Amino acid sequence: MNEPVWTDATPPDTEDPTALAPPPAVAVIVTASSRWPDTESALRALAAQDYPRLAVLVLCDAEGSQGRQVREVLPTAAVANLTSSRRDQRRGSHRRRSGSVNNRGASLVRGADYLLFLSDGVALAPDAISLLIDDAENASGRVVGIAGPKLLDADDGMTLRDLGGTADRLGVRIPAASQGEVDQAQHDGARDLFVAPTQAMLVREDIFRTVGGFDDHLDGDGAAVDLCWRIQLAGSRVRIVPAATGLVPSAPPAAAFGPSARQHDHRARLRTMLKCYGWVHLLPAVLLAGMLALGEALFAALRGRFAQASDVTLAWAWNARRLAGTFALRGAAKRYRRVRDADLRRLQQGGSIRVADWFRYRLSPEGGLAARTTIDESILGTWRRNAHRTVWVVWVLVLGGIAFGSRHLLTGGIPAFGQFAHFADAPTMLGAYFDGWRVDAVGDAGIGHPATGLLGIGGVIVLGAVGLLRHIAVWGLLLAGLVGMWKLCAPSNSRNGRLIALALYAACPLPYNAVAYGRWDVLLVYGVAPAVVLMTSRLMGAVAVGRSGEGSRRATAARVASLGLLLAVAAAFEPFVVVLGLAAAAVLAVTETIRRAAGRSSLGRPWLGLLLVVTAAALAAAAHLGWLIEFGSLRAFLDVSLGSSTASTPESFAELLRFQTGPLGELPLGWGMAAAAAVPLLVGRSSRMWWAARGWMVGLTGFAGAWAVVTGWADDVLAGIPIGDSLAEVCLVLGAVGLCWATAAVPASLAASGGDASPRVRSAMVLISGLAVGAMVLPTAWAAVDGDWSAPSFDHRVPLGLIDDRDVGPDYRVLWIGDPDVLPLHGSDLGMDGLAAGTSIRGYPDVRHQWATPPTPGNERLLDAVRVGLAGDTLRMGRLLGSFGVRYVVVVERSGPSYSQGWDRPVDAEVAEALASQIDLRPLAVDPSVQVFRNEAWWSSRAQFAHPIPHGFAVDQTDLVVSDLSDGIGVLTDYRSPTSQLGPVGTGPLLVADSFDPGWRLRVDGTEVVPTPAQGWAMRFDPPHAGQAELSYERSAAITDRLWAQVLIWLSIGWVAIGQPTPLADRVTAGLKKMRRR
Amino acid sequence: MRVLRWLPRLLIPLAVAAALVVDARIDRVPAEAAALAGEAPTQIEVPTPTALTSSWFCPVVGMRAIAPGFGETTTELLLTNMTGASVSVSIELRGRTTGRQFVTADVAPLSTGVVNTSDYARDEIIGALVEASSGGLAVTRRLTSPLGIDEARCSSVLAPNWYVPVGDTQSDALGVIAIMNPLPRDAIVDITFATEAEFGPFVVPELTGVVIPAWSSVAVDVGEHARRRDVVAASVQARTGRIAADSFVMYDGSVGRRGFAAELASVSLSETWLVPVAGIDSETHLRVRVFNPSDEVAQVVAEVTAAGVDSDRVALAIASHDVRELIVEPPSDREPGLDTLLAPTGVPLGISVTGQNDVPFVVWAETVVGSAASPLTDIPIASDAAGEAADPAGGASVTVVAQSDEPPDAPTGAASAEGAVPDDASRDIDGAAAEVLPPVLSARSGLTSVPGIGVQRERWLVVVPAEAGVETFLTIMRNPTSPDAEDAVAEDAVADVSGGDGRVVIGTLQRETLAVVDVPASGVVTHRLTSGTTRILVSDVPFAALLWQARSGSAGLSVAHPVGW
Repeated sequence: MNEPVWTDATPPDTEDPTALAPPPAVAVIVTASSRWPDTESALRALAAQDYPRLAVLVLCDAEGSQGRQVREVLPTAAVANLTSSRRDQRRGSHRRRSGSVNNRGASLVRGADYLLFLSDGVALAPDAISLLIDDAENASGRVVGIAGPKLLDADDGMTLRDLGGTADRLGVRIPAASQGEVDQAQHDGARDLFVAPTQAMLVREDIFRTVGGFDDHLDGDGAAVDLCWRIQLAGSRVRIVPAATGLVPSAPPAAAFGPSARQHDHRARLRTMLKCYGWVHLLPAVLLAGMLALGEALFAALRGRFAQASDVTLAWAWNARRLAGTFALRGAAKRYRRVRDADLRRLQQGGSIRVADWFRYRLSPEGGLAARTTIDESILGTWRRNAHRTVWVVWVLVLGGIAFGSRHLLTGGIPAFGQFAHFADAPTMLGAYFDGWRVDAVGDAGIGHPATGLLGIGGVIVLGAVGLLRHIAVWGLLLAGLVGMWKLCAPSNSRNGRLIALALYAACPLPYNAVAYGRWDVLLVYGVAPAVVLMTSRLMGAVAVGRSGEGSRRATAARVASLGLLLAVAAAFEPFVVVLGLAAAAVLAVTETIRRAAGRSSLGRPWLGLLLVVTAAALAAAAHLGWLIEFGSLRAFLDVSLGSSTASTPESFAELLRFQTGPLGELPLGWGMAAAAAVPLLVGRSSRMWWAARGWMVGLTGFAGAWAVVTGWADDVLAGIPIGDSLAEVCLVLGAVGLCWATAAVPASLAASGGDASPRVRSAMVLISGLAVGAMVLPTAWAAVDGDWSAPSFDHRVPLGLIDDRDVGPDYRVLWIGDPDVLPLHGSDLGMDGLAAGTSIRGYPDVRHQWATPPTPGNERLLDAVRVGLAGDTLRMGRLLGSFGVRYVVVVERSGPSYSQGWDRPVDAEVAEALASQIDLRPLAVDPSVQVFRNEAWWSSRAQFAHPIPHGFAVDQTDLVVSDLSDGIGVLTDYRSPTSQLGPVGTGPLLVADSFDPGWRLRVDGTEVVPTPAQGWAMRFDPPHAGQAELSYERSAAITDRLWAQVLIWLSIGWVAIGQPTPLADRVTAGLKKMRRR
Repeated sequence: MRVLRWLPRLLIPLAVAAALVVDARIDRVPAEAAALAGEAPTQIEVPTPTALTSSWFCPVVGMRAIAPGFGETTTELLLTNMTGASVSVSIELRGRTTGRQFVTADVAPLSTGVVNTSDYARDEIIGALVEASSGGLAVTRRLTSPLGIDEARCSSVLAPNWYVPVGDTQSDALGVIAIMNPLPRDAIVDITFATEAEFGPFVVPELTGVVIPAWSSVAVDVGEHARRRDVVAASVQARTGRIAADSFVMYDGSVGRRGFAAELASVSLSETWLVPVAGIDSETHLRVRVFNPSDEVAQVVAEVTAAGVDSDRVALAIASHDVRELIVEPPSDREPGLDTLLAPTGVPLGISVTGQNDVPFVVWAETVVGSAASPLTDIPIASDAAGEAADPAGGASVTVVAQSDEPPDAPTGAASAEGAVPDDASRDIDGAAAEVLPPVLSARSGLTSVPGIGVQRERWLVVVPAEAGVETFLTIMRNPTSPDAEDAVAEDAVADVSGGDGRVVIGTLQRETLAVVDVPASGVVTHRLTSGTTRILVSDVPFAALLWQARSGSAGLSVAHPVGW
């Protein structure tokens, strides 16, 4: 590289410095692009400058043709590569960001007073640099750090392209000139601004060095805003000098690499805020930015713009990864800061310009026009559309009806009953997944249930508002189901058909009965099933994709990964959804094959689509592989994961067709959906008939599955694998989706022009359809009057408040016994009259206890103890349970307290008698819906004994029933988490009622004690001396590997799902291309 | 291709219709009705050997004088180990003021151990919780009072409701209800009485909401609350908690009758009760009491059956919460009363009381040997009455025990523990020679409470404590109205040829057969046992049995309820 050459090298006269002071030396740093004509025009304009002390450095491919062309046009210019390292050069310029490129240019310049950063294609007027220097040097007031010219469009020379601008509180650049604004000298006055034009910035060199130059990680406008902000922090000004002009090409530079411009903008704004704001302004600004980002992500996801949602999310993740570096730069900014934020804010605009623009745009006629033309399927895009007012009215009625029917639950909260458990705080849920120690039953080593990890992430996203997250997890699923149905029916090209399908899906009794019975699994499938069917149909080619990129490998991969991701997320909560997805795909493939055979089309597409769906299901399974490995075998997983008993499963096929799964659906009006769906099947022709056939086939698959479950045929087929009745209702959701999908063809089939039936038949069918839809909607609308869909108003937490010590005192467990329908946790089957049992720690169980976990020897031992006691084989059940740290035994006999709605599940009289006769269990007076016993023979889960306990003690339960160990002293009472407890200990054996695992350690004043097995399943520590101790668990390397492997699989699927490139995919694609060329 | 277009149009509706038709033809097992929270059936029985523990509750193992003249009651606990391994037994004695005391004992396999609890604790009333570290342990008691000796079971169950036969509350009588609460929470009980003087339940305010403190026993003197009643029964109902209850009846002899009876209260109701009686004569006074604690009128039929004689029966209507007394006496010149059952003397007899309208009730009996004079009957004390009564002359002693063909010390093949009855003829190894008098005829005086047996079983355990000068008889009876018995009666036609009826095998704990007793479908047999041994009774049909013991001295008569296993 050659050094920049100053065009005027005359040394200054030292006798009269004022008069003869040479003009400041200016180094122009031009970043050349691949478009040589733009570069050439910029260089020629520089060559024509009238400024005397000017040096030009062009950053381009110095050794290539570009370098030679530069030297030909501007021989005095120095030429350097964009990057310094050979490796980066080989990788190409497209890997470099403008911030780092400009910094490299600045690093190559010596002796300059000003640096003019010029983007490729900016042709400055001959006097532009002189005017900029003049203003920078002579402007009154504080030092000018940056000056920028007025940039006009090169094509017409009149349109303002960039005149600098300001920024809002969140660092969003707000241009001073509107888009397409014609220059009429209305801005021709030099003045201070917050941001200079990005493509041409004259920066004072000493200040540039002081603030550390550009941010290497930023690009474009983001880099410019960041530099301008920091330079102003340093006490300098940013000026716009409209007298100095330049021309820029019309066509914007194409985004060449990396993440989308939107994602980069989000990254830059957040990074700049984190660096530049003081703490006082930073916290509210970040909070506001976070809320807006969350809203944007949710809203985008709701509209199906997953790329936008992922951009917003990934931008935050990007900043989170670089937080340490950002805070280092923040420290540097603190050192050169000369201006308070409050002073700087005068040049900024308050609030969020993006939010203000959004509303302004949406409410303006232009916005409505734009929405009509650009947002075809948007929900809110229909706000101003007269043609879609019906859509808006129906949506308002549907959502309003649901909100009205749910008003008591929305305002008073959803009680913790059925599967609607309360959520633990986000760190606890994340810890349940990442700590490598499960708290279910009697504890076990292993990765946590994936659902807890997902809920933990959700808790972080909502900033710890897990109550809000719980509402989203219930009502959001209902809403997602409606949106999914709306989108599923979009290819019908019938607005009325979509509205009918939407209304019927909203009126389906399933979600409301699920709310009434606390069935989260049904709600989950209700929410995702339409999307699964839609994605499956697209892969089958049954419906058009309607997007660009159809057919490309990356798009197909993204769709497969999206379906896999959706199935994986849903399967984390209800694994059976994968089976439903495959079943829907299979019947769609068959139906599509028949249709194509009728139309003499290619028959391969449906089966290729089925293969893709199977691949997606495999991806979902792979996403849960780590969890499946915990069970040891697939059979063991299926034994505990395929549904449970329910309080609401219908018995006959007719009841299934009416969706009679609870309070709603009992009336014969429930046949309405099937009747409406039958209309297009009977009178439709061509595509309408096939549309209805597809819907019916999907629906019948769901009904058949439900029927097989309720009749017990599924048990016979699966040879002993227990199938819970709850799966029947899960299958029914597919039935509802199919029928609603079929009804979308009703209006088209009955259309007057080109109708598929004779006018008389058509009239009859219109009448039938109307009555059928009304029959479905009316009972649901009537049920909405109650305001809670017959769900209980209260849960057991208040009457059972006495069993919760709020983490004060010795550690203990609560044993829950009862019918699975009313237990507030997932219990293990006792094999006694349908009873199940499970444990929680220190009080009422939360969502961590909602899923089946792998069986452990300790849990089997606990269940044995319960069976022995309930069978009346001992009256010392308390002593048996005491060894597990069980302090309270709660027998749940009703879904809610006696003063609330609910359903009764009393335990058998003999079981009740056996419990009441236990010598060590003291009954406590609580609500009649539960029996609570306090175990008088209890000792803490972390108990220390003053007397010796032999090492082989209680390997057999007989030892326990004749030993009173209630004198054990509860230690380690400072409960930090399930894997960390602190407190003083003495000498003597310390029994820990958790499954034995060598990962546990007891540290007593720095002395580490390893556990030894005790009682055949638990742990024992023998502290060498008394002192302050900590009991902690460190997960094993194997668990850690499994954990991160699972996380990596999830991230990989997610990465592909949002359409991002992957090196592996790129290499595969490149390899395929090479093979094809050969 | 038109077919393909019509395929879904026709196929789908047809599939739905076919499914509806098929569904209508599926035979569904009706969903099990939700279990109703009610009273669980409770039976006092030996925990199975596979059980983790054996727990027995003895409401009273020691009691000081409740009232003047009735003395102190002491107890020997009889611990019977029915397993093949030695069992460690922990006995927790609980007094109201002395706190808890623990006694441990090891019981050898297949044997009975004795623990005298009076050696360990003395209190106004002492209960015992007996626990063993395995199943197969049975616990019974022998209670000794200055007025007599009696045997009683302990309870293997706790229940909220107990039904207590009290007897009467005349001036010479003392009726005591002892209630034990072994659980860690106070129990609150209501005690109501049924007497001949009141219609419906007789509620005493002081006995309503009585607190039985945790881990303690409480004694209630019935005479303080229901004074001078001729027939008294009590119902003890726990509002909260579970309890066990004993019943004590003592006659001080100040008028004529004298004796001591102790029995565990009845924990369950039944519609069929059997009372196998060793025999009566002119000096043996047997009264059967039927207590209906329910809210409906019970229609019952009481019947006396004995071998070779016509049965006598009476039909009774027992009002709600009422008690009725039946007098069982030999035929005489007097016109029998409406509440009188005539029974032959000197032969074993069975009394069955059967409900006719599905209303359960409780039955027990009381036998007074010797003078039955009481303040109510105003019979003067006859000092020689007992001696006369003890004279067996004229008593047609009928021994229905078959003679053994084998010497007593030559045990035959072991009986199956599962109840298989040997096919060979009835044998008696345990019994003595033929001229055996029924115990009631050999006792000179005494009182015993004869518990009715509401639940017939195929297996019973009888514990015979070692005691000198005691005649021990086993009375065995089958329910004449049960289907099994009807079958057996039908088989009697064949049995006439084969010579067999329902058989009961009497064996040792080691499962050695000592005797095989043929029990006719209608009638009662007695079998004499050697004192100081423990026996298991096994049959292939349910039966009832009682152990009668007659002491030669003033201790008189006692009857023990066997323990099911």
